[in-house]
Amino acid sequence: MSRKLGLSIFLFSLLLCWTAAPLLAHHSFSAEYDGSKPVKVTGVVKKVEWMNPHIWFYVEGKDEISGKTAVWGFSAAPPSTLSRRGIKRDVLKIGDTVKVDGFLAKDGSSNASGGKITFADGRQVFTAAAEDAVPK
Amino acid sequence: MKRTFEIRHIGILSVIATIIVALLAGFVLAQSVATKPVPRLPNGKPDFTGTWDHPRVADVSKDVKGRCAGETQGCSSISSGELSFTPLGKAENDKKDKWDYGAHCMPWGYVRSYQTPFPHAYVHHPDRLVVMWEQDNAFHVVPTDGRQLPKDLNELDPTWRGTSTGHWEGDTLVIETAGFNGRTWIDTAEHPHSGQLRVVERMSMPDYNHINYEVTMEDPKYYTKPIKNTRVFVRMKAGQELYEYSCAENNRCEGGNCTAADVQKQVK
Repeated sequence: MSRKLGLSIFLFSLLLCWTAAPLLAHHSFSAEYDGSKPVKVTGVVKKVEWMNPHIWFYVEGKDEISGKTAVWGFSAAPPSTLSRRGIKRDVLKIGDTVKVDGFLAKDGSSNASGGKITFADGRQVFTAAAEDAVPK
Repeated sequence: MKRTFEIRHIGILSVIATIIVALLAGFVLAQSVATKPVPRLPNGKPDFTGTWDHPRVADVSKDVKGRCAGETQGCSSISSGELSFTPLGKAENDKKDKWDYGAHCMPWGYVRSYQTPFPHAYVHHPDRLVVMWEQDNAFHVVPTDGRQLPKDLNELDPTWRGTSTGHWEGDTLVIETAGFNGRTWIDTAEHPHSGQLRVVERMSMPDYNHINYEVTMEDPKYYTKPIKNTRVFVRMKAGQELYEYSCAENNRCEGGNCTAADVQKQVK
């Protein structure tokens, strides 16, 4: 992907964020995400926010279902839930290539819930919050 | 002859001693494998102190089985079923675009705090039960020193989690709570309650690792009949503690309004 195209996509993503319908954070899954709209994004981890009330991680890549390429913002369970599952905060590293299964935000942005992460070596971790729809 | 008798005697004693030691060891082992006895307070009542996992209840009108909020197994919640609204309650429940106080990191409220996706803990003394919820790192004190709620509940200052008192009925702790501000929901499914909500909880310990918890919500302004959930809490493994939880730390698009600050958090 050329730098120019990447910049365009980033700017387009920003535009989406500005214009999209409001996204409610820290809310019930069904209010924020559409369990009938799965995404399967393969890309590179750009940023990880291991914080309450939900961790967020960003993956630049393509959704194989819609064909859309973007910097995807994935929200998942809080740090405490993940820690109790044995998933530590260094599980995701900048530059990792991952496939993320999740469900699209209802607001039409490039945000999604990120319920399952598959690493290049085939390892999988389930990062969905307790009440989130869990990808199969 | 005498020497032979003594040797035989010592031999028999050794066999008896060995049997006694083996029996004792077996007894001790059996005790450690079996559930420990219910811990007691100095006043002889069950001591609820500990870190407990509860079922994640997103909708009080539905049952939950097996899964606990903090990844332990064995929690459950059995519901009294479909909710029955008064006309006022129905109007409130049917409102579109309700203001989601939780999305603004406001307190989840009393009954909803027990239904969160995170465990809770108790610190128990004869004169009080202190509830600590991981959600928002919130606490609530239930005095059990004989004081009672005022006859006129309007005397209570309306608060997010209400005012509680507890008393014992045998080995069951009965907690009554009233004085709510009516700004919370009774669950994540956005079922409303008014300031007239009154909550009665009954807690008992069938064994060391479990609490039987029954909660009854009565709100004559919004509901025509009481809402009841019968739940099982499970003691978390030794060493498991509550985590820090700061809702405001990275709360996105608060109140549904994405600001420049939210956008700047996007990767660059």
